[in-house]
Amino acid sequence: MKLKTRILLLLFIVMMSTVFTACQSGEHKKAKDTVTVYVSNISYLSTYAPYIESQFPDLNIRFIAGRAGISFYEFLQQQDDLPDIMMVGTVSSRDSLELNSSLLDLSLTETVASYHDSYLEQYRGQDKSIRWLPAGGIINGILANKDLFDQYQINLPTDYDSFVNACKAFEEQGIRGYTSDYKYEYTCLYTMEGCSISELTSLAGATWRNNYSNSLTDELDRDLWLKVFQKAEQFVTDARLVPEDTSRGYSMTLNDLSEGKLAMLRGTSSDIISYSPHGNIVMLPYFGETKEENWLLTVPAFHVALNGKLAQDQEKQAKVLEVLDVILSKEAMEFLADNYIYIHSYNQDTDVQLPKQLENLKPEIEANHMFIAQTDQGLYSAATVAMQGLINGEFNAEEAYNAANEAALSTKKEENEAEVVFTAEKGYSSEFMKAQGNQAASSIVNTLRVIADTEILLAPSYISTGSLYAGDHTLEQLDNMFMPSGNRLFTGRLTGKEIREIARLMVEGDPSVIVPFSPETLPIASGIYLTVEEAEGHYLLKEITKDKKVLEDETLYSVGLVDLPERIQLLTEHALGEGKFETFTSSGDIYARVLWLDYLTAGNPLEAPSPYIVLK
Amino acid sequence: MKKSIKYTFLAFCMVMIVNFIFFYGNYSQNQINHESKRYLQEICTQINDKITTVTTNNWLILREWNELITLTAGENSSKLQTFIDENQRQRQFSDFYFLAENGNYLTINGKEGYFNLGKGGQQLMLSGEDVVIEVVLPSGKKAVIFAVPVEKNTFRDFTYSAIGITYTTEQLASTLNIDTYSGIGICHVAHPDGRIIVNSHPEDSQYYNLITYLKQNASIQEKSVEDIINDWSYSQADAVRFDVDGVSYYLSYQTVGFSDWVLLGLVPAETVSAEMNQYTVTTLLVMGSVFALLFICVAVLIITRSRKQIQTQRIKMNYQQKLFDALSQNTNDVFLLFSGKDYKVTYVSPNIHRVLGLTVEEVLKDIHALSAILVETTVAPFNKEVLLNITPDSPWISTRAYHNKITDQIRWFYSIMKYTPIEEKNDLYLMALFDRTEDRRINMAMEDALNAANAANDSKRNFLANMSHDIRTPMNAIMGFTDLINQDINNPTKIKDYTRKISASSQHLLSLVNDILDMSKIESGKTSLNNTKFRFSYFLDEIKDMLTPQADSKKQKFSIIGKGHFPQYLLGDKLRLNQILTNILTNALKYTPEGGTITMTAEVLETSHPNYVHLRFTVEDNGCGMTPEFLEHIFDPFTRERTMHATEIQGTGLGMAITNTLVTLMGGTIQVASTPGVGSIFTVDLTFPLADDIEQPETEKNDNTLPQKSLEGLRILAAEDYSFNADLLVRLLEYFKVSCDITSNGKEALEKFLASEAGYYNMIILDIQMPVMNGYEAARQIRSSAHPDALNIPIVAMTANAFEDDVKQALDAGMTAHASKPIGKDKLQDILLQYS
Repeated sequence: MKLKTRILLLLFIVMMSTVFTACQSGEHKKAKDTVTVYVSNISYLSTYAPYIESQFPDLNIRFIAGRAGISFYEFLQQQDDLPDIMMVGTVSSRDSLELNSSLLDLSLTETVASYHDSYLEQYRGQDKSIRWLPAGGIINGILANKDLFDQYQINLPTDYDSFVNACKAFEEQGIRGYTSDYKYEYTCLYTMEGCSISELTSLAGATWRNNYSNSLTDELDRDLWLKVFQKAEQFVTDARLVPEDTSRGYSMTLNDLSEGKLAMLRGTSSDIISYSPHGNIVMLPYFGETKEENWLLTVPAFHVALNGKLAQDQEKQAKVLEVLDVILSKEAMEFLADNYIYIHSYNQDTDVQLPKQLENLKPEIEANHMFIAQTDQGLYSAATVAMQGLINGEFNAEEAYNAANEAALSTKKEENEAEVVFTAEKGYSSEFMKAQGNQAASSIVNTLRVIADTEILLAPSYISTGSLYAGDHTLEQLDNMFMPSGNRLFTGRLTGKEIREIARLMVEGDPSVIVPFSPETLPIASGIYLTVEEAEGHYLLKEITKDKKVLEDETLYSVGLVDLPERIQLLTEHALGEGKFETFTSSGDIYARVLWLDYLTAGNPLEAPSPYIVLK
Repeated sequence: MKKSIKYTFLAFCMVMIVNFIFFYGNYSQNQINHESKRYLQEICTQINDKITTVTTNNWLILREWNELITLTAGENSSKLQTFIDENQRQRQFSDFYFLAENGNYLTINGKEGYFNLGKGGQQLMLSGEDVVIEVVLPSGKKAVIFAVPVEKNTFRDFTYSAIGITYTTEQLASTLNIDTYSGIGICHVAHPDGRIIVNSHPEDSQYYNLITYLKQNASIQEKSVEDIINDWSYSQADAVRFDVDGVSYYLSYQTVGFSDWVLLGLVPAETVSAEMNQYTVTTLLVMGSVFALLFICVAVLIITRSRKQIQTQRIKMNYQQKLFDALSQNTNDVFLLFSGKDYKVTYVSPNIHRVLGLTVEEVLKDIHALSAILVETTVAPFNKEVLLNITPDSPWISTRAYHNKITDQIRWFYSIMKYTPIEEKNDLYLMALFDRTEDRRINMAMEDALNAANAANDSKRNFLANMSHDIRTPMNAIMGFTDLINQDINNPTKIKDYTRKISASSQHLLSLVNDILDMSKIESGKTSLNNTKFRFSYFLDEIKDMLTPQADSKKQKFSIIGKGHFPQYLLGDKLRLNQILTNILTNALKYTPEGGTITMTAEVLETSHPNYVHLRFTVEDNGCGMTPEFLEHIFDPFTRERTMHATEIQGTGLGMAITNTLVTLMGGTIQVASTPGVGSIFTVDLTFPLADDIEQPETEKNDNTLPQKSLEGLRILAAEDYSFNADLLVRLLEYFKVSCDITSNGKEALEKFLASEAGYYNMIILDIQMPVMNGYEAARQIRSSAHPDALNIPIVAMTANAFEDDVKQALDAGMTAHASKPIGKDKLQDILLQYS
């Protein structure tokens, strides 16, 4: 063969190989980068997270419902397993000092620059870094059942005096004019701050706040805080709070509200939605001496921070910052506002329209009487001690100050002295694997099934707050592994068909639960194996097998379900119709989380994960 | 060489120009950068000053207003409100505020609200400093509040500790507008971390933080972003240039005097540099144009000159080519250029077809076409190995012959093959074939001539040897018998015998000399025919009469037979015809022994021309004959048969040569046939014009008689330098009773003649070769003298010079006649009788 022919033949072979390789390589798409986002509220997985996820078709965003507290992420920091984006409920520079070293400095990002300068000051550290950003201020004030006011022809208060008069007027009607769930720290703190905003916004208050946030002082400034507690003391008296209010929880308060026994309570704009079945709920500000001195408290819906390791990967950092920008964007805030009616924006160009329900707050909003609550952990403790003491009648203002100051000072000490209550032999990742699911969640659900003693157990994806780690755990750390809030364990017997229907709703989505928008948001199963198919961003339950056999439609199985009672009720009603929910046995007042904690702290091991799902 | 230097220089100039433009461009760009930055900084300074002015004015105004407010405290605030409103319209601020310590405010219009003044609030309220703080208006818009601390006061029951006015960032932006550069620039007031507070062009905003934007998008060469932040923290002003998406910008920054804010000015580099760029561009364009023009001129000049040179060269080359072609067409030398690599012929001289019979195309196609017509080489055949050994200093030379198949001619060439460095890559060789055919012919002819000359020399040598012998032979007899006369002086019988033999020897010697002279004349081409009318029949008789005694003496039978009708008269050279026939017959008589027979037949042959007669003379003898070898050279001069018999016979060896030449001269032919020991036949064919009708005096029988008269009493004047000949002349003249005055040279003769009386001398006889004055000169002077007899007196040259030229020279000198020696008594008498 001539040389020319050989060369041509070689070139032809090379060309065909290249074409073939290109075809082959075309089949193998480049793996998507993964960004892990820990949200601080399960409700964010309904619409907020799906919206964010939809903005990044080229990214794999893992949304996990983590815990809202700093301690949760401090634990993850110890495990060197911080997510790319983490959300907490409340945070202060002081409380996150230890965590800050693992967080990315956002001070020189466009995201931070988009914030109004006045809102950044309290997040700027001594080194001028900014690690946390507030997102979407939720308005905090006094909720009033206007129906009751109308019923008893009492004017809605417009200032402190009219508030006091209203309380008095309702008392005369045998109705509590005002109370709230002072069992909780946040109610104590928000009430205390709400009553003293003018003190806290004074120069002295601003100075102290800055110093305290930056750990330049650990004490409560006496001049400032004595006034605060004096005002609190006055409020307790004027609002006719009673010692029983210190053990009042959410349910009790809701119950009174729904029964028309309560006219006003502390709440947020989201509570307007929650309480709306019980009346025409309106929000009122924290009252000042004059209406011009009325204030609204804002508490960021969440605070967000980024993993400091992103500083070493500029490419990923850029992508994560893009996700952050979307998280804080106007459009995302509007999704967030679905949960809270209204979100007060801290950024430029992201103002959400004031809804009709809050139009009465326009003067305060326009007057910018929007005080960002100071939510240092020490203050939570201090406020709880002081308010409960004042409500109980144990303290006067001075005593309340002293007790509060002590409580603030002792908060750190307590954290350091936490006891190890559980040691995990093994850790399990929360990464979803197509052929077996989320191992960490599976371990929790398998453990729950043991606790529930059922053949089958179904739980939402957010039952797990992330990975499980081997090693020692304090109670708080162990607690943080489990989904928060008032989730219950429900047990009952269902046929295979019924189980399939429930599982189908959990897989394919239902208003009672979240609509799974990513593999991580698919439900967790124990005792059964789900075959799920993904089609155009949706999931379809194809089959359920138990012990490698198809679940028999007519066979009864013992089943456990874990979630908030109202969700389970809705779920069972949607899946099985009215009345089925009543056949379930609830864990009652005991949260499923508590059952789980008790089980483990009693020395029982975590169950090993098992494959429960295959995603096709 | 000169060209390469020129091009190198040109290239060097171009490089220098480009370098200059590049460096100048760089330098000017740097200058533009520097000036642009400086200019932008100045603008920023102006804007900074503007901001400072606005700020200080605002603070000043607020203080002034505070006085007014203080003065109007308690009064109807509507006046104050009106005042503030008016100022608001004038100064374009958004609102006026009474500020409480905690940030609460009350506007002049009674609106209440809250500003989170942050650290600025502490400065204002605690430190008592005038401040400018970024705030958020109730509408959510960003604003800047200019506030001054005032003594605590109350307005409409609102306790305030400071007053201030706000400008929205849009309102403030108008003060930042960069008018220069057509408003294209952007100006920011920013926090020290780069967060924008005020943007002169908020509608074009692409970022909230310039530092972040620069970090993510810009390429800054002069400084890092951290350096810039550092500058801000140390209130350093500067300007840098950065690029975003290929577009360059200038960023000028300086801290605002009254806070830690930074004033930033951003302008596209193109805009800033536009004017200067224009200048630079213009300058560069002008310079570039000048250089370009210069370059074009130089280029045009060079090109024109080059073209001219090329044209000249082309003409020269064409001329040379044509000349070469013309030369080659007109020479027989052939030239080829061929490649040593593949023998491809690149040039063939066009004359190859004429010289070698090959076309140019044939040879261009294949050099071996030459080999096909090669006839002979004297060296080894040409091959590759030969090529390798050829160097510029060592050509390959050979002699070779080619056969021109068209003309069927063999041509010889001196072939040179030489390596020529015209095109090194093609390894060219020059083959030159120098035509040496003519040279070879000439060489061969010269060789032949040399051989002939050598042969002639040999003959001459032999002739001289023979002549020496032949001359010496009668001389010997003359001298010998002369000696014997002295010895036998008293014996008249012996004296008579001796004188008879001396006379015979003298005659033989004379005929020898005459033959030599004849041969010399013939060879020098000086012999001419004297065609006259003569009676042919008498001619034959004369020959018979002349040779019969010789034949009788050897008892030979000699006869002349005539055949045909002879014409009475012929026109021809009777003397030469006589010489021809006499030579042949004399030889026949000589070489036929006693009792032999010699017959000459004269025959008239037919001729095509009626006025001519073709005569054939045949001489036949039965003598000794001649060998075939001798017959080949019988007509060569100085050749004689060298047989034993012939050697004894006297002769000059020139007779046949003379005979052949004369026959040829007459347009005839001579043939000879001979057999040794049998005899010879000579046949001479001649053609003569008939002369019967020509009126010309006959040359009758050679009578040679002159009218007789007495010579006694004549007086002769003679000049002879040879004493013996002088003595002989006097004695011969005395015999005729003629007196003679003898001189020894021409001068004496001239003097004697001039001294003589007129008519004294009857004749002057002059020898020619004499010392002092020769005979020719003497004759000329005699003729030109004034002597009365100068023109008439007969002057006769008597000399041994016997050629025609000598006769002509004598006549030209004025002599009357020429007589060649030896002159005997009879000849002298004839001369005296004819000319005296």
